[in-house]
Amino acid sequence: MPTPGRRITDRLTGNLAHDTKRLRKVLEPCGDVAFRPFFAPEPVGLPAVLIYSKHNADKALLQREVLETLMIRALRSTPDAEALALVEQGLPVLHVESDSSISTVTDSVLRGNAALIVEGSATALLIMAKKPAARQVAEPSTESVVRGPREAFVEELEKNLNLIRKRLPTERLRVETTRLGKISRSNVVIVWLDGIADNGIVDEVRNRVMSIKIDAVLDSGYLEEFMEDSPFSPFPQIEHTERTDKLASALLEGRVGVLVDGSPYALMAPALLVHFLQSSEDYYERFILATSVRVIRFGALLISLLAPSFYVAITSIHQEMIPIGLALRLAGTREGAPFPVFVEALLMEAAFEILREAGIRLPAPVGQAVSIVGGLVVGEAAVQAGVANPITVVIVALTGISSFALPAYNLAFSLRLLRFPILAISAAMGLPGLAVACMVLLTHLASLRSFGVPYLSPFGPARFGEWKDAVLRAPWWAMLLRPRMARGRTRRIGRHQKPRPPVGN
Amino acid sequence: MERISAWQIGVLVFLLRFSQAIVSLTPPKYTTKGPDAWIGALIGTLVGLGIVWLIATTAVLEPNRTPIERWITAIGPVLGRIAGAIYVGIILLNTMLTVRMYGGLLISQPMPETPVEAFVVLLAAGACYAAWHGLEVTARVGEVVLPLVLVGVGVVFFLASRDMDPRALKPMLGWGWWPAIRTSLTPAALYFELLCVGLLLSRAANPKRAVRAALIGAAAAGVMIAGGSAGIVMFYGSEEARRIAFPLYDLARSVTVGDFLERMDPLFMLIWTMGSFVKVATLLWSVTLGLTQLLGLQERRPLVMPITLFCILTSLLLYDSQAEVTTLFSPQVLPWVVGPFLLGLPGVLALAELVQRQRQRRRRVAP
Repeated sequence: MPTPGRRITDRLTGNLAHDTKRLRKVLEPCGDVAFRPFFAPEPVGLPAVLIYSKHNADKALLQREVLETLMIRALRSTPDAEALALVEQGLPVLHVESDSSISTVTDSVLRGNAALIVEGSATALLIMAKKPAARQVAEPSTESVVRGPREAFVEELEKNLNLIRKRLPTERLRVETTRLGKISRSNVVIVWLDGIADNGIVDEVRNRVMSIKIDAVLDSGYLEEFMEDSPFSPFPQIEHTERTDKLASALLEGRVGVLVDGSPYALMAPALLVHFLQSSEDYYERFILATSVRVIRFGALLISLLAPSFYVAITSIHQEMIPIGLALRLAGTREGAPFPVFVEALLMEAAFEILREAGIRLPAPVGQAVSIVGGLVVGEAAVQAGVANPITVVIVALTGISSFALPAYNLAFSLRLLRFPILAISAAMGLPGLAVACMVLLTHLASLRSFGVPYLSPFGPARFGEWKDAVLRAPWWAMLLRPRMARGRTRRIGRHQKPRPPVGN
Repeated sequence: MERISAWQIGVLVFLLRFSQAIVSLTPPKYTTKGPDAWIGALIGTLVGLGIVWLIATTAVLEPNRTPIERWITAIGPVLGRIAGAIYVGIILLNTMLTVRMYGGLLISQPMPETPVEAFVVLLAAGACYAAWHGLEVTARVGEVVLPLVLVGVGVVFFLASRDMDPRALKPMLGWGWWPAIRTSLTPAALYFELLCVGLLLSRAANPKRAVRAALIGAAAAGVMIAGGSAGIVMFYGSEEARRIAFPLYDLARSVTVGDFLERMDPLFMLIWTMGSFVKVATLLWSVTLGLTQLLGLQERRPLVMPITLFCILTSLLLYDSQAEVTTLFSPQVLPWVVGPFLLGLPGVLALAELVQRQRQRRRRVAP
């Protein structure tokens, strides 16, 4: 039996009293960790201690399969086997690991597992007895679809990995786990498909994840900001999803996923601008419908970014563009208006944004009422009071509705932010100002990269082959190759699969 | 080092040549007689293509090297730097002209109450941002802008086509070749806008394909200008077309979309702004790269802001009225002002390099 030395190490010593004392020193102040000493009769014939979390461990399993087995039922003995090996072989528990590090034992217990230490053994048995999380796999709440799978990630990493594995039961699926957060010690998993994802991108993701030094990672959003190429850009450069099918599809395109224990959102990288305008449903509906919807989304993007600016530019500077009938009507509604169009639009935009934010924060039924009734009441009141003209209200409402048509909330939010400076420059310089503002924005987008992949691709740089799945969505049988960001443009669909009516009929 | 694809070179070359032409299609304006502006434009394109071919094929012999570096190697550091300075100066002049003409049109037609300085600063400052990011980024922006420019111009011509009369193009060469040849001088001289192709090609990922792309880009722009000139003449008639300062812009003003869009010119202005933005950004990138090499600097970016400021200030001093621009671009002035540089700079450089290569060959042969 090793004698505990004066030097404090992270290792268990095999002296039960000493090891228990050290573990108690670390774990007892937590308040929710229990130490259960007991004597394991022959053939073990030694004292032992079971350490477990009072709230997270499955106490019934520990009672039934560990304590009862060791204390009441006789273990089958193997001649000359060590005590710990006897216990390990005899326990009817599926997942048991062994480790001799005190910090690992501590960590495992705090995560809801149990540790068993036996007199004379400098190794602890870690019994995976964590109680399953309460939340079951449910429908995605922020990425719902009319047609398609309805499985969303949950807060439990193991369950999330199972969901991915269920969709991609291939040996190519690689799962690399690391631990981040000095205090939270959260499990972070990088997933990719070997042979499909580009090794350079996988390495880059791994390096960026590994280089994060932080006290706690409570959600995948924490990592996102550490991993972006251009942190000061208003545009998101990493995509997140709660849909399992979306992550599986991203992996099949050669992208890399990152999951964090405790977060129902997976990160996907690289992320290009077009990815934020695509929805899972695009691939489940027929291509004609999917393409039409995508075109509408691109239109919505332009409207949500530019509609108020365009309206202000033409009504205040380029009135000659407006058809005469509409111009007369506009002039009539603006008679006696106290503010210029720009101020009107700015006020209405600000009011709309406040209402929207209020609607999100309030409980769902109240929130809906606030945003709908509030919008109507404020708009109507503003028109009645002569503060805003009805067309401004229509434009602002159209802008707001268009931003809801975008599948990615984070992109819609970026556009909301950018709308205001563009509005100001359009009011001052008219359409040339609007055009230059758009060009500066385009330049910014062209300068962005996500894990080295140009953000504006496949439009700039132009990759014509990938236009099949950008604004358009070609039929499945025509999308033969994976995107170039994967390891080369590998084939994903066999040739000549375009369906035809049977010959001879 | 930045690298751009052959396709991106083609796009930039096209936009460099076509952006200004979007509003100020010059051939009909400078035709002395008859409706043969488009023939003049085609002849000018052929001459221009010859010059682009000379610039591009000599550039590809020394891949990854800019004309400035080649000048210095070919004729020595002092003379090479002087030639390089002239080369950069011409590109700088082109930048100033582009920025000034942009402001000039906007104050002469759609927004006369806004000071020209506002538009000059607006365009130059925006392009400065793109030039700061570099050629790769500017090329990507160009790729996105190109379809908008093509669709915009196409739509205007399509809508105007119902009022075009092909008979206005007759009699073809009714006054002989001379008026057409004389008209071709300005379009040919305007290929000085493509002097910076040598700098662009030094950043080509695949120089040989880039040469072909540059030639295709220049040819496509030339053909579109010729086609546009024919369209203008068919719409206005050759006499009327000669009197209009900005023919294509005026054409855009004339067309309507049903009873809904009664004026297309502001939309056309958007497209023109986008094209000019890419052009000025590319030119600013070229000037700053050239100056960096002339001055032996390590980094190009610190020069972008000062050069943009210089461009803004000097462009405002270039001319006072549109009449001066019309004179400057006329066949009597422009070809003789820029022609010697357009032919001389690439020609002398090619000659100097040829002599240098022969000397080196002789040295190698001599024991």
